Amino acid sequence: MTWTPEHEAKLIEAAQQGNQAAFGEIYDHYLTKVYRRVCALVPESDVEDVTQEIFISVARSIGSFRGGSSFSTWLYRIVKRRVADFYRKRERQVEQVDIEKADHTPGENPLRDAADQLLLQQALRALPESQREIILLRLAEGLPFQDVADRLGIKLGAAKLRFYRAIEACKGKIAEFDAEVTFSS
Amino acid sequence: MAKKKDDQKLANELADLTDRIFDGEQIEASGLDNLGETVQKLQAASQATPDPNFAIRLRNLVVAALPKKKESVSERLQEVIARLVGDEEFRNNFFASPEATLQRAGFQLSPAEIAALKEMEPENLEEWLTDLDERISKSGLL
Repeated sequence: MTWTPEHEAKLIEAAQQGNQAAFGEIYDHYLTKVYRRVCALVPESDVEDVTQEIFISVARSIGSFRGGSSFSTWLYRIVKRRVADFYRKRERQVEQVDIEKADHTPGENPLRDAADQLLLQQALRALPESQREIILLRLAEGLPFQDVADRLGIKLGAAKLRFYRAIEACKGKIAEFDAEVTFSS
Repeated sequence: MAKKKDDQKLANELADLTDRIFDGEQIEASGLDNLGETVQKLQAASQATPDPNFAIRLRNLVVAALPKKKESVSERLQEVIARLVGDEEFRNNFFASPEATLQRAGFQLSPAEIAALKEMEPENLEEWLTDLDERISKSGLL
C-alpha cells in the first residue's frame, strides 16, 4: 500500500488506541529512516541500542502525539533527544579516547574507517540544527532535493544552497577535528 | 550579489553531483573543492540497513511496549517507580525536574499521579514506597 498522510494518520489513531498491528506498520515504515539517522550520529556499536530506545519511547508516548506538527517531525524530535541523552550519558573523555585509540595515520589501517566515522559524526553533531537536518534528509533519508525543500518549506534553490553551505561547514568541521586529533596524538 | 549567484551555481552543481552519487555513479575529483568527497563519505556513513534479526526482535519489543488504551494507573506508576528505584541518574533528574524528566523518558502520567510522585523525598524513598498504595487508594486513583 502507498504510504500517504491520510493512511499514516489512520495508523497513528489506531496505534493510540492500542492497536499493535497499526503500530507495527508505522514501525516498519520508519525503522530504516530512523536507523540511518542514528548511524550518522552515534558510533556503530551503539546504533542498535539507541534505535531501540527511540522506538520504545515512540511506543510509550504515541498517545501524546496531537498532530500539531507532522508525525515525522515529532518522531525526529524523539531521535534528537535520545541521541542527546546518549552523549550526555557518555563521558566526554571516552569519546576523545575512542578517536585517539583508532590509529589515525593514513594508509592501510582497519581502524581508519572507525576514526573517520567518529570524525564524521562529531562534525555532523557540531553543525547548527538546520544544516545537520538538511544533510540527514538528503543523505540519510535519501529524499530528492524537491522533497527536502517541501519538507523544510523552502524553495528548491534555497534547499540546494543550504545543503551546499551545510556540506561546506561539515567539511570544515571534519578538518578542524581531524587536526585536533592529529595534534594531540 | 555576484558571490550569491556564484554560490547558487556551485550549490546546483553539488546537488547534481549528490544525485549522481545516489545513482551509484563513481565520482572523480570535481571542481567543487572536494565537497563531493564529503558528500560521498556522509552518504556512505548513513546508508546502513538494520540487521533483519534485530529488526524483528525490536518490532516485537516495541509493539509489546505500546500502552493498552485502558492501562491501569498502578501499572504506569509501577513502571516509573521501578525506574526511580533502579536508575540513579533518572532518579536524580526526577528530583531536580519531575515533569521534564518524565516527559523526556516518555512516561505519560496524569497530574494527580505526578503530584503523588512529587510528594516523595529522595532520602525517604523506602518509607514513601511502603505507604504509596494507601495514599493512592485514598486519593481515588485506583
